[in-house]
Amino acid sequence: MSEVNKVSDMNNPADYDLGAEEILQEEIAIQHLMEGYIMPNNFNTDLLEPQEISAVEQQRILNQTMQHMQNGQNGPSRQSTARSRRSGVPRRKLWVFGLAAVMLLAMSSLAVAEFALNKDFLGFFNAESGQLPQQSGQEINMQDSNENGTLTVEQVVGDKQSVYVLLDFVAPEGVVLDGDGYQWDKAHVMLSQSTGAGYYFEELPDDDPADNHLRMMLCLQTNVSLKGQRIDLNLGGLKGYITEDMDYTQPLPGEWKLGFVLDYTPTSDVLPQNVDIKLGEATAHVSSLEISPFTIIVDVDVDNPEGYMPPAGYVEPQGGSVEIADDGTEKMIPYSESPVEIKISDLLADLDRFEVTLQDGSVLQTSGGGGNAELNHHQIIFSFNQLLNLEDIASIKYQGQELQLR
Amino acid sequence: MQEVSKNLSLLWSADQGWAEAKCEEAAMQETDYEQGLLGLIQQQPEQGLAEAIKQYGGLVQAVVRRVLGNECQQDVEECTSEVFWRLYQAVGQEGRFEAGRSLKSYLCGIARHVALDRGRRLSRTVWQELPPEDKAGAPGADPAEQLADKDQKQLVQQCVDAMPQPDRDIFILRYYFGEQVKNIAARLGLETKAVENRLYQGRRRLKKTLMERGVEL
Repeated sequence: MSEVNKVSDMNNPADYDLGAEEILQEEIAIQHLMEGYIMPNNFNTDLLEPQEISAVEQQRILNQTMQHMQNGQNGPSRQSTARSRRSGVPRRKLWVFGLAAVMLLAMSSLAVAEFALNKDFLGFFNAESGQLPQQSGQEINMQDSNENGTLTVEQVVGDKQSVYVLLDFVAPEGVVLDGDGYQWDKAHVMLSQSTGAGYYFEELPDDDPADNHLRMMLCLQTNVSLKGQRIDLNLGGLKGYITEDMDYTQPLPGEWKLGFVLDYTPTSDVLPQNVDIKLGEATAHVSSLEISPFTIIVDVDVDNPEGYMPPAGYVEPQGGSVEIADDGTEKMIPYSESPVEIKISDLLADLDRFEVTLQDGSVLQTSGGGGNAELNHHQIIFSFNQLLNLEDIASIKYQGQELQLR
Repeated sequence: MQEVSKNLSLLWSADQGWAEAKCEEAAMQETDYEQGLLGLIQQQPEQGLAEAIKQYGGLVQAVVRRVLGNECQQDVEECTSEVFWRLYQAVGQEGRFEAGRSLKSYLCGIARHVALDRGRRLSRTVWQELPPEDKAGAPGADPAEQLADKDQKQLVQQCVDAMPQPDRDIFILRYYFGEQVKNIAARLGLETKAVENRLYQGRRRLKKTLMERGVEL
């Protein structure tokens, strides 16, 4: 959404001194401020160049909309639910409140043999019961409570480098959590051995969108094996988005801290590859493909990254990348000035250039892609909206090349 | 000569008054249409939504495309259908539509939010050292956090709304819809430099307003 625009105005010496980076920072800050802005009625919407949509497309959109309506209040699959602001008493009375001190309870742990995928996981992955090997998941059932609510880590599932953590949050009786897409204002997620990782939280649909109860998924990927690693969570400032107000709710006070060790057994198929892909003058080589029930990991070696050129038809991302210094400060790097390995990684993780076709002819929907960017080696992890099974996959096309599956 | 000027001025005022009256008439017609449409959605959802998609689908898609920054038709259509599903949910619920707010404005806001949400999900992550997301209390903390209460949000609203035209629309296109400067310039028939300068003036105005309230960008 952002780009750098160097503004030089000799009549305004203070601004003249602003460099591209400062202007970018200022523009980003203003974009944040505009979160709560309400577009005036007399804004000239023709400036947005709306185009007529065909009757066929109108019908397709209508069908999808009607489908959402039939799905009920949970709405679009894997989307944050839009929630009605109903008044009333929350129906759940599950927890006892009033504890001033933070309490950490380990109710049970490591019941791997008895693991059965929770219905929220089933919904999250559009899966059926029994579709996932038991050893891929782990019961956690840990709670942290204080006077502002109780956070429970219920289950985790994952593979070698990706983990999904099912969270349950119950606020005190009388608090209505009816915003959209709840997020944590403060989120420290720490791994015991990681050198790099990316994560996000996603709110899950629940039965009553106007009660004091939330279900969330923490999705985390890293560049080293997760087996045996400890995850520590320190979460606070829960806030949701009120669509009709176009604004976030006031963050809920309080912090919740939980730590647990990952003890599930990852399963995957590793398929060696020998496929060249074109990156302009650079020579890139896909060396390995690893398919687990949750992700596909692609390893790519690049011989001469300095020869990188974006391929025809590839739309480079707008904005830039964030560089985090040792002291934790963030620095915005405009895309045009980003290092070549970041540009290569962006291309390699482009969801439009990774296509998985199943035996029944359907194309699998990719839900995300990200990776580890080094000058000569890239590892990209693609995740999906459903569980994977190598036997169900007919072909994988990556950067225009067919990868080897058999 | 003075008389001629006076007459011209009167003529201009008369024209201006006529134009304003016409605008008001059009706005009233639009409001009537919107009220009728909302009623139809409530009573006959499928027919009402079909009409809403026909009327506003292109606008919603234009917002989604701008915010998502891509042309993946599947993403755009999914976001569009979600926007109309949210409209359906909102219809008939008291307080959902603020008095005086147009359906067009409401849909643009929802489309922007849905697309931002989708964009966050689709965003490609390059691994970094796990960053703490807690910036509260840090020097230069996010101004949006400092502007937590509604009064101060209104300050931003008032400041942007009070900008002269076309500065206000340029500011909205750039910072609300994420439009690129060169595209804004092309659309308004201005030089890129002129758009940058108007954006600069808008930023300066907003900064000044915020600073008067003790908030630093």
